[in-house]
Amino acid sequence: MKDTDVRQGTLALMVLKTLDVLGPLHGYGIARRIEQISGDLLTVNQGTLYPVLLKLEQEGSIASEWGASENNRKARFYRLTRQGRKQLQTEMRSWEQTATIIDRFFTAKPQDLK
Amino acid sequence: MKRLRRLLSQLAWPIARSDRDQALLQAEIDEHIALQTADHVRAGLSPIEARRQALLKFGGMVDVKEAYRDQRELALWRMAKAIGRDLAGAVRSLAKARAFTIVSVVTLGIGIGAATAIYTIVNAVMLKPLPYPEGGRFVAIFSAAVNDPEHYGSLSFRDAQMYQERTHVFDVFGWFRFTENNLTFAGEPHHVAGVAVTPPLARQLGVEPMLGQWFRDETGVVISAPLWRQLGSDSGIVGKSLSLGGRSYTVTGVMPNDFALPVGIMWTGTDLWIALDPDGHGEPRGGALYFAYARRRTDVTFAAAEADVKRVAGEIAAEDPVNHPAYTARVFDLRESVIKDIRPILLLLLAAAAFLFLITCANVAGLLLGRSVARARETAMRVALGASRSRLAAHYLTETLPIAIVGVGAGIVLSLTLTSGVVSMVADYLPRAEEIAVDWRVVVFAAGAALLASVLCSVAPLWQALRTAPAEALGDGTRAAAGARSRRLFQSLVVTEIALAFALIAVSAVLINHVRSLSRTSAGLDADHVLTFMVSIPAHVADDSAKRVPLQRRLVEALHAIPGIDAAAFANQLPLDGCCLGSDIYPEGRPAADLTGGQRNSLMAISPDYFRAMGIPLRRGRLLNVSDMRDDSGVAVISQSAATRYWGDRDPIGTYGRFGSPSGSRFQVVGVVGDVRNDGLSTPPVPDVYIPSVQTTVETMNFAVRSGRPVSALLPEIRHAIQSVDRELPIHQVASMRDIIQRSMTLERAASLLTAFFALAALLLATLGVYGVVSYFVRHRRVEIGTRMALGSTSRGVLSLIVSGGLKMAALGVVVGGLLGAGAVLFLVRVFVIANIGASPFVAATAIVGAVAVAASAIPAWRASLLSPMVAIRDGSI
Repeated sequence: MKDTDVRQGTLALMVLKTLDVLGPLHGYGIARRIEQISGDLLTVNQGTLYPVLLKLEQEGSIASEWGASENNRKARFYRLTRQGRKQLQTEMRSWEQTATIIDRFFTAKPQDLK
Repeated sequence: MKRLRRLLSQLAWPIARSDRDQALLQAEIDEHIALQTADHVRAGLSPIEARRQALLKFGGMVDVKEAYRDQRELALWRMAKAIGRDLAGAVRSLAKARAFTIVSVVTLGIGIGAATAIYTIVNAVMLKPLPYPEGGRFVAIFSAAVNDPEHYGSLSFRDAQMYQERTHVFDVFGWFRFTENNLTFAGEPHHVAGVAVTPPLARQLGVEPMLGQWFRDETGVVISAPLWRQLGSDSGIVGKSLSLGGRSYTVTGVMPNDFALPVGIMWTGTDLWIALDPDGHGEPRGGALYFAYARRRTDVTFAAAEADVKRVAGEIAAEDPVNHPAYTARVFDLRESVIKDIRPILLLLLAAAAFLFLITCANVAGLLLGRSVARARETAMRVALGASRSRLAAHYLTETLPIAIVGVGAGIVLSLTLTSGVVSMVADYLPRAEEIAVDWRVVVFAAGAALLASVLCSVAPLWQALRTAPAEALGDGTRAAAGARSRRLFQSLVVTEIALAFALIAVSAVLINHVRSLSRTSAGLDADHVLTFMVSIPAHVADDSAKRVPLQRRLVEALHAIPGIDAAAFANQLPLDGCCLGSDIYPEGRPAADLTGGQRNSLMAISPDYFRAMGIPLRRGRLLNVSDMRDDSGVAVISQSAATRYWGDRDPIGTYGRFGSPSGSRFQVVGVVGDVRNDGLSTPPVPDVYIPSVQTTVETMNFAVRSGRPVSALLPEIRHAIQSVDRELPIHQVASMRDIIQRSMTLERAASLLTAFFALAALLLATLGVYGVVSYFVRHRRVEIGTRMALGSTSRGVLSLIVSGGLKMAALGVVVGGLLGAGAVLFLVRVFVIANIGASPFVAATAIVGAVAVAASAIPAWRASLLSPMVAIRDGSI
């Protein structure tokens, strides 16, 4: 349970960042991009991306519309909203903070605390 | 506006996309797999392997879909929970603010109730389909004059036949006439209103009797459910015989309760139906007594049907021009023909109710705004803590919803009372009145009104809340937050209320004026001490003048014998009681070019005492007398307007004219009498031609009796006198001439009474609105007022400062309302033929609104002027 929460959270952040960098993309495009960057994280279960996209859309961070894919068929394209961009910034900051703190904990040696 | 739209779309998001969603997800997944497969193929895999790998990579399809659905439902559930929390909170806080809650519920109840009451009537009268299967395809056909677009009349038998033979657009066609008769069943006499209808039409209406069946020939009669009950609810009545106007009929069926033929006939329902021979055997010749109903074929539009009927009308006029001068036909959608007279009035009332509804919404919005300003800190806190706009909107909406829900309950209760009141007031004029009831459409309407009310009411406070910057509200307290913006919002709400109220007052003032001037209008006769009633003589007596004339003379003589009766007479029709049976008139010696047939007039067949009984003055020549009461006397008395219309400048006395056609039966004009407003007090008199009753068949005798004695004492003696001549003759439709005149104004009276009611309610609410907003300002300007007084302003100065604020709002309201009112009055003038409005209704309305505005702002102003400057400044605005 906890595990999926964290994974969903990171996944959402990755989606937002992807859309921020690449502009409007369809689901497969997002999945491929995340796969390229993250290596293994999404290779097993690409499908889990879709509930996350829905959640982000419900929260108003992204919006979607229907367009044509590369092979010229109907596909849903997602784009970042203004609110999403704000959220991305906030979350990136908090993520960096968390990461710094965790990093410090992990690298801390007993002699540093003396 | 854009913001509001986005807000609503966010709220509606989870609901709007339900079923479609899964299908769309499937499409999205399909495309994902396809793209992945294509990439794998490019990487060198075989197509089958590429697709297998793609599916593998995507993961568990079922799991994804389930997670997707869960995510969707989660949002819905979250919203439902939030709304539930808001509702509970709203109910709690409303329970605490009891005065606020009661005032808002009552206010909304009035608005919703008034709107629902009028809608209940509109629903039954105007919106419901006719009670026939396929009722939407039925039309009614009338005769009309080319040069008179306003009036139309019934058809002659021959013309009805012609339309049936020559039109090609109908699959059902038939016609009927009214027949009043005395019915005897099991020894009891009753007076009944019947309809003689061609049997194919009766059968093809598509409504079967609840007992028995439709008649096959002229010996059968079908009775209505009310008459069946009146005759004792005998379930074995089919096959029994009854006597109608001296002839024997066999009952073949009993119609269900809601059956009507004709539809929407006013005054009274139809008691029974008998067969009318489609070949016209035994029908009076020459009379235009017939109404035609027809059903369009499914492939024929209304316009095409109308064109076809008019084509036949043209043929009829061309083939028989003597009997059809300026002849054409009018076709109405059957439902339309029933409602078109009442429609403008119902629309007027609906508009008035809508105005009242808007005022109540504005009023409650003002109350909510006051609350919301007072709670600006709380709202600011919510916003500062991150409440989204949609949450805020949901919060405000759920706060008004409980008020609206209770309000709709109060409204429906009020509407039930109001509806029955309206119906009893105008029942005579309301077609299909028996169908008026609260059905699901009315409930849906009321619920819709409540929802609309809560949306409208919450817009103003929500707007105010959204414009409030949290820092501002939290820092400076409510005074700054309530600043100029919410003050303007307040003022515009009150100005709207005043404008709507002003328009309503102006309209009702116009109507009240109109009714007053109508009741001052002389009908052209002396209506006091005149009692009228009807006696219908059986057809077999009426058709035989050797029997009819002596019977009628004996009836009049019997009435004269009653002590205290000054005059007694009868006529074929009464003025102001449905106008007018007429005949074309052709004065001799007038150039043929002037002969315009088809103009309306009223042919009165009277007994000699009629003028005296009615108090109609003689202008020139002489009245009709007993010696004129012969078949061959050929004399007539005409009214002033008939003389002007047909004889122009010439002196009509002693000259001749002809009825029906330039070669029709001849009559000599012996006198001219005053005009009678026979077609309604507000319309010009229709020219009258009076002929002796013996010259035509008067089957239904309309008696007029002049006597100073009270009706209660007179009536039994009259009944006795009539029955002493013929025991089988009941008298019916008893009414004083005053009643008939009053009745002719029913619509105007009802409209003026109802709009006055709406206007009064509107005025009351607007007063509350002005009072509320002024006292709110006073509360929030205490420091300013205190400072002014400390600096030397007198209490009179303070008073006039505040009252002039109230007056300013009133003035703005009057300007806006004046435009609204002017539009409404223009509409009224057309509907009611109001001759002269003048400025007085608008002056009166302005005065009323001004006085009320002064009174409503004077109370808080007076309270403010009593303030001690010290206290005011020290306490500030809290």
